[in-house]
Amino acid sequence: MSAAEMISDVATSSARRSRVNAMVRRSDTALLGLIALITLVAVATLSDFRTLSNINNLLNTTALIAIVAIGEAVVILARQIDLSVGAILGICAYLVGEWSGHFSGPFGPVIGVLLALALGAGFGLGNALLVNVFKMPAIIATLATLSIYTGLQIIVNNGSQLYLTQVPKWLAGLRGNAWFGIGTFIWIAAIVLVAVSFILRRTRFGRDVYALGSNPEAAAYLGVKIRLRTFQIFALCGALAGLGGLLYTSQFGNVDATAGNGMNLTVIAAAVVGGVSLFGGAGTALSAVLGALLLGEIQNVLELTRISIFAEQTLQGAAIVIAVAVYAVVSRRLRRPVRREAFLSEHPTLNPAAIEAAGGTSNG
Amino acid sequence: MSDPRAVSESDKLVAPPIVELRGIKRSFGGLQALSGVSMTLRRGEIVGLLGENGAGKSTLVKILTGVLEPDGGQIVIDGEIRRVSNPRVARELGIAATYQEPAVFPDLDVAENLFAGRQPTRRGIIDWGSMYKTAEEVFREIGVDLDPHVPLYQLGIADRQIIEIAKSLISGARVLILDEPTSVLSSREVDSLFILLNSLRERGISLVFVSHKLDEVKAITDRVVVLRDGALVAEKPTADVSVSELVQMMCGRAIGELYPSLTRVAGDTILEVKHLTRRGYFQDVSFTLRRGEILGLAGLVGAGRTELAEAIFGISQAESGTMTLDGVAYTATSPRHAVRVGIAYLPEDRLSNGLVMGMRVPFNMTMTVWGRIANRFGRFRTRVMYRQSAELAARVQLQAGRLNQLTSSLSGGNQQKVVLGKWLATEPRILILDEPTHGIDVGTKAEVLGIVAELAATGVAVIFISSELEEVRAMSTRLLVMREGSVVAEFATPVDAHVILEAASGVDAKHES
Repeated sequence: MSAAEMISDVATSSARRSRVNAMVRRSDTALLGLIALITLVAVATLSDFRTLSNINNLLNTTALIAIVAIGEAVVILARQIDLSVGAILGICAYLVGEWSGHFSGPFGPVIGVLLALALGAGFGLGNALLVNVFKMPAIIATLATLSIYTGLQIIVNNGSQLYLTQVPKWLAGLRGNAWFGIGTFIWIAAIVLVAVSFILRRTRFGRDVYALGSNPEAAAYLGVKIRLRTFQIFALCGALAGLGGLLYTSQFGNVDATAGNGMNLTVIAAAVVGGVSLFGGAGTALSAVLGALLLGEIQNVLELTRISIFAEQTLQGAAIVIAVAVYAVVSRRLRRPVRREAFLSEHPTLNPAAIEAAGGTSNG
Repeated sequence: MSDPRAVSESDKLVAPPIVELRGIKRSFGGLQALSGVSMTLRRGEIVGLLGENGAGKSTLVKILTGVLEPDGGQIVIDGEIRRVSNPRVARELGIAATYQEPAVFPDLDVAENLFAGRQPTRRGIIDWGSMYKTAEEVFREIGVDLDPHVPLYQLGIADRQIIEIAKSLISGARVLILDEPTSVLSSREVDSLFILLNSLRERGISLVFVSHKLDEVKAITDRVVVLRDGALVAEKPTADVSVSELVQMMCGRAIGELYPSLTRVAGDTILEVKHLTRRGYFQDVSFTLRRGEILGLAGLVGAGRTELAEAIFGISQAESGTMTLDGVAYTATSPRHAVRVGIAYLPEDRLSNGLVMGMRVPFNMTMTVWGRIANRFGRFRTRVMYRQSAELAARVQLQAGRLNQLTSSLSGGNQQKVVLGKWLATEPRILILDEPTHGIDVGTKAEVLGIVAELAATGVAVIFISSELEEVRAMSTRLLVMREGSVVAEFATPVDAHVILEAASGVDAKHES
C-alpha cells in the first residue's frame, strides 16, 4: 500500500467513524430515547394515556408550546433571551381573535395567519429596538416589555373576555380539524419546524445566528451585521409567538387578560431541556420541539395520575429538574472533549516515524 | 551590530521580496514603539521575528496586518508602495495572521470554522456539500487528517491552529504571520507543526514566525529579524547566528548562561508518593521528593503532570495510593489544607487561576496570607500588607513602576513574579511550579529560574513541570518523565534532550533528525 493510499484509507475510515459517533452523540438522540421511555411506561401503566383523545390533547398542547419554543430557541441560539413571548402570545391571541371576525370568505384564514405573524413580529421588533438602540441587555429589555405588553393586553381587552363564539368559524374549528388524520396544529408545528430548520441550517442568516451565539466578538470581527440580525431574530421569535396566539384562541376558546401567563418559562424550559445551550451556539429547532414534547408528556402523565392538583405544579418542576439533571450528566459525558494529543497521534501524514515507514526507508 | 545595511550582502542570492518594510515608525502617545524598522520577506521563506516583550514585535505584526497604520516609512508589496489601512486590505493583498488563541466558533464544525463569514452559497442557500469538499481538499493538500464534520470544541489547541492556517490558505494568503504558534503546544505537536510549515514554505508561502523559543527559531527559520526597544538589531541568515548570540542581541546584554547553576545537594525526604492513581489522568505514580532538590517533571501536554500536581495540592483527589509528608500520612483534601502543611502550587494558567487582574499588586501578592494580615478582630492591616508585599517584590525582583498598580498593567513576566511572590509569602516547604516560564521573555525567564534555584538552595523542595525540554533538563537536579499518566523514566543526572523526548513520546526520537 502506498503512503497516499494509506493516508486516504485512514482518513475515510476515521471520517465514517466520527459520523456514526456524531449521530450517537447527538443530544437529540438521547432526548428521543427519554421520551420513548416515558411513553412506554405511560402506555403500560396508565390506561387513560392510550386513549385517542388524550393523545390528541397532548399533541395539540405540545404543538402550541413547540411553535413558540422554536422562536425562543432562535433567540437563545444567538446568545439572547426573550422573556416577553408569553405576553406577545396573549395580546396577539386577543387581537387576532377580535379582528379576524372582520375577514370572512376563503382568504380569511390566510389573512388571519399573516396578521398573527405580523403583529407578533411587530412586538418582537420592539424588543430588538431596546436591545439595539438603547443597548439594553435582552434579559432586562424583554422583562420590561413583558410588563408593557401584558399591560397593553389588559388595556385593549378592557376587562372583557373573548369567547369562542365570537371568532370566525375557521379559527374556532382549527383545533378540531385534521388533514389525513393528523390535526391542524400538528401540521402547523411541523411546517414551522421544517421552515426554521432550513433557515437555521441553510441560510446566511441562520449561520450568523450560530456564529453570534458561539462567539459574538469573533462574529463581529467577521463582519456579521449584528444590529440587522438582532432585529430579524427578535422579529422571528415574536412572529412565532403571534402564531402561537392564533392557536391559543382556537385551543382554549376564551381569551382574557391572563392569556399566555406563565408561558415564558415553559418555552424557555422546553428549548433548554431540548438541548439549546443557554450560552448560545448549540442546539436546533428540533431540540426545542423535543423539549416541548418531553415537558408536555410529563405534564400529561402527572394529570392522568390524578395526584392532587395542588402538588401538580411542584411535581412538574421537580420532574423538569430530574429530566434536565439526568440529561445534563449524560450529555456532559457525551460532550467531553476527546482527550488526545492534538493531531499527531492520529495523523500518519504528520508523524515522522510513519512517513519514514511508509516511504520504506526505515533501516530498523 | 545594529546597522541593518551590513547584513544585506548575504541575502543577494534570493528572489525579489514580496513584502518590504522601509523605515517603519510608530509611536503610542509619547512612547516610540517602532523607530524606523526595515525588513524584507521573500517568496517561500520563513523569517523569525525575535525580541523581548515590548521590543515592538506585536506592533510590527499589527502594521503588517493592517490593524495599525505606521506614522512613517513605507510598505512595499510586490514592488509597489501600498497603504495597508485596515485588515481587509491586508487580506486582499494576501497577508494573514494566526494568533495564539484563535478566534473561533467552538460549537460550529471544522468546515464552517474554515469558511466562517464566507460560507459558499448556491442561489443564496448555504452549500454544505462544497464546504466539506473544499475543506477535505485543503487538508489533503497540506497533509493533515482532520474531519471537517467534527465540532471544534472537541479539538485541542494544536488542531485549532492548523485550522487557522488552513483558513488563511483558503482565503488565498501568500504571507502568513504566526504569533507564538508553539507556546501552547507539546514538543511533539511542535514537530508536526514544523513539518506543516516546511510544506507551506515549499509551496511558496512566506512565513513570519514570532517566538520566544530560540531553539525552535533556530530549527525552522531561514532568516532572523531581531528587534530591541523598537529598533532593528539584526537581520541575518539563521545559520550564521547561535542561540547565545540571539539571546545577546535580544537582551542587549550578555547572559552567559540562560539557566542558573544548581546546587545538587539533596536533603532528607520530605514527600513520598506511592502508587497514586486518578483514573483517566494518571496511574500508579510513585516518587520521593527531598529537601533542596528540583524534581523536574517532563512529558507531553496531556501526560497527566498538571493533574498529578493538582492531586498533591488537593484541587482534585486521587482515587488510590498514599502520600507521606515528613513521614506522616498526608491526604490532600483541599488547597487550604495543602497550604497549611507547607505546599504551594503555581498553576499553569496564571491569568485565570493565579491572579485577580483587577486588583492592585500588593493585594495579589499577599492574598495567600490575608488571614495573617488581618488582626484579631478581622480588621485588615493595610500597612502590614504594603510592608510585606514590598519585601516580597524585592525577593522576586519585581519590576513595576509603582508597587501599588493594577496587576493587569504588568507585563506577563512580572505577573508571573507576582504569583511567585504570593506563594513565597506562605513560606512553603514544597513548591510546585507548572510551566512557570510560559510566555515570558528571555530576560525575565532567567530571573525567575534564578529565584527558583535560590529557593532550592535554601532547602525548599521544588517540583518543576515544564514542556520545554531544554529548560526542564537544565533546571532539574532529578528528572521524572511522564507519558499517558505514568512515570516512564527517571534520570538522576543530566541527559540529552532527545533521550527525554524518546521517553516522553514513546517514539524513537533519533529518527527525526
